Amino acid sequence: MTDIRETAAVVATEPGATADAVSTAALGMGVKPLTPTKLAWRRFRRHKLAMASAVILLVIVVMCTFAPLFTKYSWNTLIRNPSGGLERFLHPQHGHWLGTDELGKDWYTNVLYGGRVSLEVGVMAALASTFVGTIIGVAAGYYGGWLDNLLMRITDLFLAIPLIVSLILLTGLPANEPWARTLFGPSQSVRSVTTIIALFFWMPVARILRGLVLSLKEKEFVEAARAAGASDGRIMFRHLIPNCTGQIIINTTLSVAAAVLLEGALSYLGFGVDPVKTPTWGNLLAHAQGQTQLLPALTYGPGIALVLTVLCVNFVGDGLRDALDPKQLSV
Amino acid sequence: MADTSLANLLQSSESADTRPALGERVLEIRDLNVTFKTEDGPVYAVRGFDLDLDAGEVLGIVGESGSGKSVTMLAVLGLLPRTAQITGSVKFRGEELIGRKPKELQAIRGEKIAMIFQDPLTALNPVIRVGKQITEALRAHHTDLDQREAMGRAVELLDSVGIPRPEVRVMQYPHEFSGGMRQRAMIAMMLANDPQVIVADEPTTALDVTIQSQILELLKSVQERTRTAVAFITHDLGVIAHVADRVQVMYAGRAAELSSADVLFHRSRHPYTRGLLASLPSLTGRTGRLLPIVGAPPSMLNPPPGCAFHPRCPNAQGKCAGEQPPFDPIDGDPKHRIACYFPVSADGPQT
Amino acid sequence: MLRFTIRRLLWSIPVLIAGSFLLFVALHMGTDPVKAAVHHNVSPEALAKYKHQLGLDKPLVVQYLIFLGNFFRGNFGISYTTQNPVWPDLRTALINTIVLAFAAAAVYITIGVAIGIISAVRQYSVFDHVTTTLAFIGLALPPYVFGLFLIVWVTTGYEHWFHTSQPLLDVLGGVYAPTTQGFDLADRAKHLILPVMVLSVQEIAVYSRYMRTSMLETLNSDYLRTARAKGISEKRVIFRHAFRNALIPLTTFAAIDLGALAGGLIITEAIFNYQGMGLYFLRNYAQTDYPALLPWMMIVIIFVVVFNLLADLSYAWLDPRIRLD
Repeated sequence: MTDIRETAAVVATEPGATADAVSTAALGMGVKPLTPTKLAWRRFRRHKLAMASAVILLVIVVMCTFAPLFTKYSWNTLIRNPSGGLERFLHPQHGHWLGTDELGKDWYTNVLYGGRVSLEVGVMAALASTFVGTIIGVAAGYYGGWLDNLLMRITDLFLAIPLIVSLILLTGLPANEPWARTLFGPSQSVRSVTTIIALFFWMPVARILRGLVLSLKEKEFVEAARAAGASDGRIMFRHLIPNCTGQIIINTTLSVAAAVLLEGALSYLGFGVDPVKTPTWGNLLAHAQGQTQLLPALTYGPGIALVLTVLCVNFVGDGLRDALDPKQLSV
Repeated sequence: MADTSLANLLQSSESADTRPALGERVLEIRDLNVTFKTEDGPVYAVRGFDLDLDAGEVLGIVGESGSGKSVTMLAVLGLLPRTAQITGSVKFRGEELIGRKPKELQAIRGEKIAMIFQDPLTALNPVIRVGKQITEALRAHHTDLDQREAMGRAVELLDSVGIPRPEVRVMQYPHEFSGGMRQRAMIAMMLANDPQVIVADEPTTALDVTIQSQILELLKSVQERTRTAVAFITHDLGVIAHVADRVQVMYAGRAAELSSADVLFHRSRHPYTRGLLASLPSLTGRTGRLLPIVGAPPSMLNPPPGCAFHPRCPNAQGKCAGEQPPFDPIDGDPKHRIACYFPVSADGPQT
Repeated sequence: MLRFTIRRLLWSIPVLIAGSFLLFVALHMGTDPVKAAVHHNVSPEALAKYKHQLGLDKPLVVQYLIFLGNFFRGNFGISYTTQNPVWPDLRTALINTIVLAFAAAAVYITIGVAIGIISAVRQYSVFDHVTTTLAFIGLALPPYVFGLFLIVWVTTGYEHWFHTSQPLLDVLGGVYAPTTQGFDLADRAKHLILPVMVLSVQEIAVYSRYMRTSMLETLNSDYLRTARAKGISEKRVIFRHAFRNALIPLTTFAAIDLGALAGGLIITEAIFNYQGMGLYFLRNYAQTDYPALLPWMMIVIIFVVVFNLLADLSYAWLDPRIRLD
């Protein structure tokens, strides 16, 4: 706005300046408007905790994804001492930051590789459920009628059943039913756990999107688009969904945190990813519980990694919520 | 309409102070500044505003959204959020209100100075019965009243504002009332303690046009009966024509023009006021293009320097961007003041 | 109001039936008790006969209807594994879980709501910032992490005395043995401390955030400004207007949350070996004990449905605008 002031002052003192010139100049030369994205980024930067969390999260993701760069062992390598015996229950020390477990596996390595899986499940489940949930929710909200009714009844039903129970029962399916094996993946695999979690997560997403679309549907810009001849699909994809992107992004982020927690719970109970196949933070915690008396680091490693990750994701989600304030983005 | 019962009612209620004499200055605002602390920086909602209100008159306060008209009166009552920084002086019958302790302000609100709000649907608590909300107002200031007596008064009050079957209505919830009736109920609630000043903040804006005139009539009759001072905030000049004795035009947190209603509609001098008048569609007379005021109201984060209106003003010249023009009398009439270096000529198209 | 109640009640029944049927199907498809019952080489004919005896060769819908009929006649059957009636064990588990759930709920709801109110009224104060950060941390501490951490802390104090740590854990975890005579309140309470702590960490965070949001909404509402404009005391404004209105969505939320506790404490009970509905489910699921599991599922869903109904009803009772439904 300083620009207006300066320009107005400059224009006003020029000889021959007329009132019209001053006002038009002042009006015409506005400050370059910031795009919503830039505005959002600026607001996000202000949220210090979110910024710090984003950085920490990045570190965690990098370390887990590129685990081989950060550890020279594999998760199931058995550490042996020079005389060939197994190095079991080593205390945390240089070279073995979190010690070793009862079989001699390096725990720090396990936490890294475990993180890979936990994060993968979290992110993929969140993305898949958001994708499916958005499409169904928008369609239900837009078309209304039987589609909407069906959606509400189905989600009512599934949300009535306690989540953990449903998840546990479903994880048992691939072992017994071939169709479940093709649909979900092999029993107790990363793929099956991801799919099953996503199978429940799409429902709250759909309900939220449906609600958003219901309120947006009545706004003038939708009527205008329809009057201009836009097809239903076009309205949904080019007008409605873009106005929900803020909410969608926030939801997805928070879903990641929830999915990571859920995977942890399932794997802890033994229904999640099979520890024989690969570690995850959840099954590492279960493993550690048997050893707590001897080596607390076994619990703290995966425990703190999990809590820190979820915490950072939630802070980032909160920062996004501030940045993508619905008042700024939607009509 | 039971006008007599309202008058009786009001005469029978006690108040600690005596009512002001006709013409006595009840509200005096000097150099009021209200700044809001926000994430994006300070927002200067009210900048150096003066106002006088006398007993028995209706002062209309006109302005666009963001002109600061509501904020001013909310500041008077101390109803602004904690992010608001208020400086200046607001005197109610000689007593300074700025800086008073909350408990003291509570005694004044609802009893000496009452405020009627814009949207009665959101301004009334949706889960409490209307009668209870009225008795709450009564018993806050008359602690000797018990609930039964208070309820009786509430019924009388609802009756006095023209609500049929008040004994039934008093037990109902706000959403069971129609829009106009809700506003009547709000008025009844705020009049319950016989205030000396009524601030009406856009009371008819949220209502249908037909209901609007009913409510305006109600307010006028109340005011005529009780000779209360009324500050009527609105953006609608048509309403002003209906009810106001004097008019204060506000723009961007400052006073633009002050005059009697008659003078305003026939001999206004401020370009902004003229702009407002010119943009009114005329139901009689020639049809033509509507003349909106060019541009948009300024952002109060960074108000324009000098006269706030100059970016949109057809008369603006260099001086206008420099220093804020003083709010001085014009045309030799001390009751007619404007803040403008290059006022519009006295003649010209009017409404 | 009565019509509203009846309508909601009628709607609950199909949800109950459909939900329990889905679980029934999921259970049957995901497990095979016949497979589980095979200890040594058994001929296929014997297996088939066993299956027939248990009624497992009938179509699923029929099996479900038989179960449903039995359930509502109070006949819960005999456990596959213990060969004892199902109900006594199930009842004990149910009571234990209810005790834990309500003890924990009493703690975390009161504390959470109190924190939420103060945070909202004193928004942006030091208290608000501190509790907000703590709430975020609490949300990230699921029972299986915090519980394990607690156990580690409790036991590593006795790191060198491996044998001494066991009794300490027994004291604080689990439930007293079912053979204990009578009802010992002190003993019960002792065993509740750790599970309640673990549950509360996350739940206090949830409730305080929820209450804070709800409270902020009412505090910024128009009717609150009107209330202040009437000149009533600030205390009354906060309690009679802001708090009362903010309580409405919270009550609904709490009702639904409570309903989910019957089957929702699986993890917490597993960590501390608490003999409630959670452990009951895990144990019998591992042994594919259908007669033990099916009534369990029914009870869990009944709890959810009943509490959801209560949530709807309480909302309508507290908010008169809804009753026009």
